[in-house]
This record gives sequence, C-alpha cells and structure tokens, in this order.
Amino acid sequence: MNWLQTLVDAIGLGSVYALVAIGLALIFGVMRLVNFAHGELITAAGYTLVVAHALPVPFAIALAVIVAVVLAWLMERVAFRRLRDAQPATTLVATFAVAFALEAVWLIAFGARGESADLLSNLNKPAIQSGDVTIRWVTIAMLGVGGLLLGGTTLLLNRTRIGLQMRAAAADFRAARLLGVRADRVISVAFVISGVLAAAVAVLLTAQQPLVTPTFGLEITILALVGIVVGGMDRLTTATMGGFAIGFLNSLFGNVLPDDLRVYLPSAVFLVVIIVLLVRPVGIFAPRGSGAAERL
Amino acid sequence: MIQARDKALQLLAPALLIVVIGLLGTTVSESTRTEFTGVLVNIAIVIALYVFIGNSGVISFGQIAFVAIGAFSAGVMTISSDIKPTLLPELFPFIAEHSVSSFESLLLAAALGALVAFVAGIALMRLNGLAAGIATFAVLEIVHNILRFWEKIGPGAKSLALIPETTGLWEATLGALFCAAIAFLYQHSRSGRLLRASREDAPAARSIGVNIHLHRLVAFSLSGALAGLAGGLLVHQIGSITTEQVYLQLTFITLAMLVVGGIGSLWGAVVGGALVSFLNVYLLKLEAGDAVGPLHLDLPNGSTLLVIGAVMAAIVILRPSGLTGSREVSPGRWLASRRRAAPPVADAPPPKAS
Amino acid sequence: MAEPTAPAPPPTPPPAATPMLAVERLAVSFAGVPAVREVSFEVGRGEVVGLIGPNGAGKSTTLLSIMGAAPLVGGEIRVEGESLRGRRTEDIARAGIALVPEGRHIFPKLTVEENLELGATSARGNGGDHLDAEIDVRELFPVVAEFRHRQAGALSGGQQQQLAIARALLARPRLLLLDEPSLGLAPSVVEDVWATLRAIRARGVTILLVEQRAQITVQLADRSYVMTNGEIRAQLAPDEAEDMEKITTAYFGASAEGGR
Repeated sequence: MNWLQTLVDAIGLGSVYALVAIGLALIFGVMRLVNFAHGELITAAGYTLVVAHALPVPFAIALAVIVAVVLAWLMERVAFRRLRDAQPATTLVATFAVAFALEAVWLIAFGARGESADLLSNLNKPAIQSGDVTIRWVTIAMLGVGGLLLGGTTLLLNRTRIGLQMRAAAADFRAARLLGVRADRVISVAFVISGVLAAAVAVLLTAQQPLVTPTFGLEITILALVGIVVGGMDRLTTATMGGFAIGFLNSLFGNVLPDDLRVYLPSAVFLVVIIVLLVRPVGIFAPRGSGAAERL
Repeated sequence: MIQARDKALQLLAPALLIVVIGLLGTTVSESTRTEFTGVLVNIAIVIALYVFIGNSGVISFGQIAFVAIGAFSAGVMTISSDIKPTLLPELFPFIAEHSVSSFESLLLAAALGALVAFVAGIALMRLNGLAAGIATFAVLEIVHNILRFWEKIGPGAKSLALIPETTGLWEATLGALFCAAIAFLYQHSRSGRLLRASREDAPAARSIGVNIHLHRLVAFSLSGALAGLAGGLLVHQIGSITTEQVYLQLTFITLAMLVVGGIGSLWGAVVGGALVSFLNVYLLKLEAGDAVGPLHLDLPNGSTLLVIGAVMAAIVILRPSGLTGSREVSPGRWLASRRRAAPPVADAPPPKAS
Repeated sequence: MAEPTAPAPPPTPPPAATPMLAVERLAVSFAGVPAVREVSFEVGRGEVVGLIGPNGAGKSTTLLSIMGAAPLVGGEIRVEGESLRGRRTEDIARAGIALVPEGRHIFPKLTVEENLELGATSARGNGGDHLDAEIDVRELFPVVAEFRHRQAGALSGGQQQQLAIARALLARPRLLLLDEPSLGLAPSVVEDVWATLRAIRARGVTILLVEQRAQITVQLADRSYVMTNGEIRAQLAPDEAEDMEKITTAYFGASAEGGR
C-alpha cells in the first residue's frame, strides 16, 4: 500500500467534496438555507451526461451545466423563495422533502438500477506512472477543475460587484437591502453558481465511476454537509475546508482501515459531527473567538 | 385554562379516529386488513415523533433510530432459540440462547428505545434548531451503521426473518391507542406543559427557571420508548426486518406524516399519520398495477415518493402548521369563533427593530 | 474637519407644494401588538426634522416602515408624492432614500472601501442624481481616505458612524434617515457627528433624524416631534431645546411607557 498514492487519491476526492461544500455554503450564506436538495442537482447533471452520451464531450458537459443551473434556479423560484424568513430547521425539512421528491422523479424516469455515463472513462487511465504510484487523469482533473472553480468562485466573490453584494448579504442581509442590494438577484446568482459547481462534481464523479443512480448526489451531499458543519458553516473558507477534510479523510480511511473497521467509518464520522456540534459549534476551522453560532 | 370537556376531547378525538380505522379494518378483505394494520403501526410511530418534536419544537431526524432499535431487538429476541444460533451464528451467546414472547419483546423494545434515547439525549438536548436537526440525523446514521454491520447483536446487512407475526389489527389498534394515551398524559403533565411553554420562547422560559434541557430529555426518552414500542409492533407485523426499512425512507415518510397533519398537536400527528399512510398504501397499490376501487392507473415506481414529497414540501412552505393548524380538536374554540371575532393574540414578542 | 459656521436656524418654512416626505396616519403592528399608531408628519425639501422620545416609542419602527422593512397595517408614506407602500426595501433604497440604521450595521469584515462601494449601489441602480448639490464625501469624512483598505470592524465607534453616514450619502439620496446616530458614542464624538450633519444639511440634503438625546436634536433640527407609545405628542422648535419642562411633559405627560 503506497502512502503517496493514497494521499494523492485523497486530495483528489477532497477537492470534489470541497466543490460540493462551496455550493452548499454559498446558499447557506445568503439565505440561511441548508439545501439538502443540492445533491439532486448533481444527480440531474449525472443523468444528463447519461442521456447525452452520444454527443461530443464538451457539448454533453455544457448540457449538464445548463440542466443543473436551470434546476437550481427552478428550485429557488418555485420552492425556496418563500422560505427566506423561515427558521433554518424548517428549511432543512423543506429541502429534505424536495430532495426526496426529486429522487422519486429520477426513479420514475430512469429506474433504480442506475445508468452508465461513460463519456469520460478515458480519464480513468493512468497519466503518470512512477513505480507503485499511478496518478490517473481523473485525479489530475479533480485537482485541476477543483482548483479552477474554487479560484473562480473566490475571484467572483472578492473582485466583482455582485460578489461584494453576496458577501454583504451573507453578513447582514437587511443592511445590504437597505443599501439597495437586490435580494432576489443575489440569491439567484448563488443558486446558479451552485448549479455550475454541481455539474462539475457530476462530471468528475462519473469520470471515475460512471454509474448514475437516483441517490448519486444525495450520498456525497450528506457527507459534504457534515463537512461544512464540522468545518464551520458561517464562512465560505471554513466550510470549504471542512468539505475538503471530509472528502480527504473519507478516502484516506477508506483505503487505510482494515475491512472490519472500515464499515464503521460512518459511525466515526457522525460521532465527530455530534462532538463538534456540542463542543465547538462554530466549526473546528473557525478562528478563535468567533461569535456564538446563533445561526445554528 | 381549557375546559375539562376540551381536554377530554384532546384524547378522545385521536383515539376515536384510531378505533374507527381499526373497526374499518375488520370489514375489509384479508390483504387490505394487513394494510390497515400497517397504517395503525405508522400512526404509533408518528405519535412517538410528535411526543418529542411537537412538544419541544425541535426537529429531530433521528427518532427512527429508536424504531430500528425496537424492531431489531424485538425481532431478534422473539426468534426461537432453537433456530437462532443457526440463523445468526455470530450473536452474543446470551442473545442467542434466550428468547421471549412477543408481548415481552414489546416491553424490551420500549425499554431499549428509551435507554438509547436517554443516553443520546443527555448529549443532544442542549442543541437547538439546525444543530439539533443535524445531530439527530447523526444519531440515525450511527444506529443504522451499527445495526447494519454488527453481527453480534443482529443480522447485520441480511434480512432478519422468521419473526412471529403477532401484530394483527387488534394489537396495532391497541398499540396506537396506548401511544396516544401516553402522549396525551405527557402533554398534560407538568413536564410536558413546561416544555410546550418553552417551545415558544426559550430564553423567556429559562429566565423564569424552567430547566428546558431536562424536560426535553424527558420528552426525548419517552419518544424513544414509544418509538421502540412501535418498532416492536412493526417487526411483528411484517415478520421480517432489514436496516433499510428503518432508515431514511421511513424517516422521510413519518416526518411527512407529522408535518402534513400538524407538527404541534396529537390530533395533527394522528390525522397526518392516517392520511399519508393511506395515501402511501394506495399509491403503492397503483404502482404495483392493482386496481384501487374505480381507479385503474398503472403508476411508475417511485410515484408514491414523488407525491408524498411534493405534498410535504408544499405544506412546509405554504402552510407550515399543517392541515390541523397544529391544534387539538376544540369545539369550545370553534363555537367561540363563530359567535364573535377573535381578539388579536400577541403570539410572540415583536422583533427588535433594526 | 472644516466646519461651516452654522447659519441661524431658519423659521419653520411654509410647507412646500410637495413635501419631500409625507407620512399619513401610519400604523405598524407586530403580531397584533401596535408599535406605531396613526402617526402623521411631513418633512419639507432641505429640512432637518427630529423625531425624539423615550425607548420603545416606535421611532425606529417609523424609519423602518419608510424603508419597507416593517409591517404596515395602515396609512401612507409618500416621498415627493410617490407612494412607498408595498415596495421592496432595496427598491426604496434605489429610489433615493437612505437609512443609517441603529447600531450602524456596517460590514465589519469588509474593508472601508468595500463598504462605501456598497453604498453607491443605489446611486448606480437608479441612474439618476437625486442630490441637488454635490457632496464630496472625501472632504466631509476624512476617515474615508485614511482607512480606505482597513477592515471596517477595526474602526472606532465614532469612525464607524462616520462610515455609515458616508456610505448612505454615496447613494446620493434625496432623503436621509438616521436612527440614533449618537448611540454608544462619547460626547466629543457626538459633537463631530453633529458637525457632519450640519455640513450635510448645508448642502441641501433632507434629513429625518431619530434620536434619544432630546436637546441636541431639538437644537439642530428645524423642528422636532416627540413620539411616545406609538404616537406623536408634541412638536418642539429649536429655541425650545432648553425648555426642560416642555420636553418632560411631552415625554411623560399624558401616557405611560410605550412598548415596541
């Protein structure tokens, strides 16, 4: 068992989880909404890749992005707009319901067995091989795309007008509106970005493992949610780090632990969640002296 | 102060509904009777959820964990100890060598549910809102994970079968009635009333000395007991159990039942449980291609989840207090509102400006 | 800070044909509990009007309802004749009305520069120039130049107040609302803020000022209304600023404590 290999793979998976985390954290930031249904955006993009497998790869990817963005926009417009002033726990129940309803849609449309989206399986080939260590193109893509999107999102937030408005809205929604920041626009942009990120996640995941099932996006979203809670939901940086950490650790322990212990990994992870919520609710990456998490 | 008549009605109305369902169940065919039994077991589960969620105002995604514990413990312990060691070779000896009657297994299920809920509750009752939702979800995941893989206490990932099917219509009706009665007694107990008061305004309640965490723990443990009991009823109804049957999907459906009926009242829990259960039953029938009365649709698989999910989302977003408005049945209130316009009620202190 | 000599306060001007702000029988309730009961007043173009009174009188709620951030149950709010009722907060801001909220509500993690840029959101949004005269924010607010790239949270209370006002002015508002700008500030700092307000007034901005400190407000404003328990009880002219008896009667005279 090669440590370097394991490390590289873990960083790759961590990047993917980080992308999910950013999508979740952006929406939580501007709306205080925990979007359980984010995973369905990933699944939608995944199934789009399935359906579009005959198209040239760039077109299929573009289509997946469009589908995810449209679905995200619809979710906000139809279901979540009215939840703006609701308690975060209520929003959790509502997004939970929307997630299950959408999952049922995939079940009806595509069946439970899963379909294959193998357009990008070429990426599963080794790119660099040195002794025991094999770095696949997929892993490079994960790191590359992850880094690119993370950088892009950061640039958007820090250097553009709409990004500034989003940061202000996340800090103090009402004060932002008093300055003329359009609530609807800021929230829509957050959802659109989360759609783009979801599509990217779907592309990367299917490259590694082409089977798309109705619960394709749900599983990674639940873990990413755990990650952002543990890392710190209130800020984008700590949330992203939390997401990365969980993906990283998941991969690491998945490879490192002996079989009989590995099956209990979820229990360990969720036990950590409970402990963090009790002991340090602002998140383990939050700087010392962060305010009490009244959000939670 | 509510009148004695209204108070009695708070138990009678849900109880009556349960009994009516039970009676209707005697008039239908054998297979439909099983479905009615299932509805009654679901009602018991939803009542268990309500005991905690409704009274505390804290959303918990974890109560099904206690249903699972109840179901598996009742199931494992009622398999005859002649065949148990062969069926489940990894079990701890004291589990493999003993077995109990169905009734005793229900008591065991309730006790274990209460115990685990109590232990988890000690840690979790401090949490509010979103944190509580996530933490209770974590409890569900942990219990599911352990039950799925720890073959010393149960079947693990395999299905547990050959469990005596002793929950018939009569037992389910009694079980649901029992849960309703306990829920009623609890919400009128001192602890229950204090908890409900704190639901509206936790800081205010704390400031007058109410120990919210303690009362939440009481509700959580009681909810765990009832959930465990319902799990026992469930496993004796189906005759088998797998971990997936008491995991996310059941969590979703029972939460939907409570939300649709009305989170804050016993009546809401029972109404929601009945309505959504029957909807579930009949939609599943349509999915399977069976005829339902005059309807001859053949719905695709998954339609049930879609309909229930959509209904649940709609209610949470459009009418968060549920179909019953989270209120108990109260003719007194109805009559009063007919006679004169209700005076404005200040439910909550007005928000602080800016 | 250059302080123009304050001219002698003009006598109450005859109401203009269309007042900058007209509040008519405004009523606001939170969950059935009234916070503002049928309040009516006007603010003419270029005037400074004060709204004073004890805690919980409904003054902040009045400002918030002008900005569409409080639940109106009755009455009308007009700015230069156009009704604001039912419009979204951000649209009202973009129509040229700026509120400096109680507690300032600057964004502590954003830089001073970024805070100011946000202030200009409304000005850009409506494309018009609502201000009759140019305001050179840099001249009025030295803190702007000095701390441009610092995090706003690092500024002192008084500096944050200056930032909040500067930010509101960058929207080129035709009507500026201030909610307790002196709150939590030392007297010398309050003097600076008041000097700023005088300078702003000299440039022709219409101001509605909510304050708990009665005397300095009555002195500054063209006229001041005393609000208690959701209603306007009295009106004070600047020369009545020292008239403690009149002020006290106005505050506590006919009513018991108000409640928000």
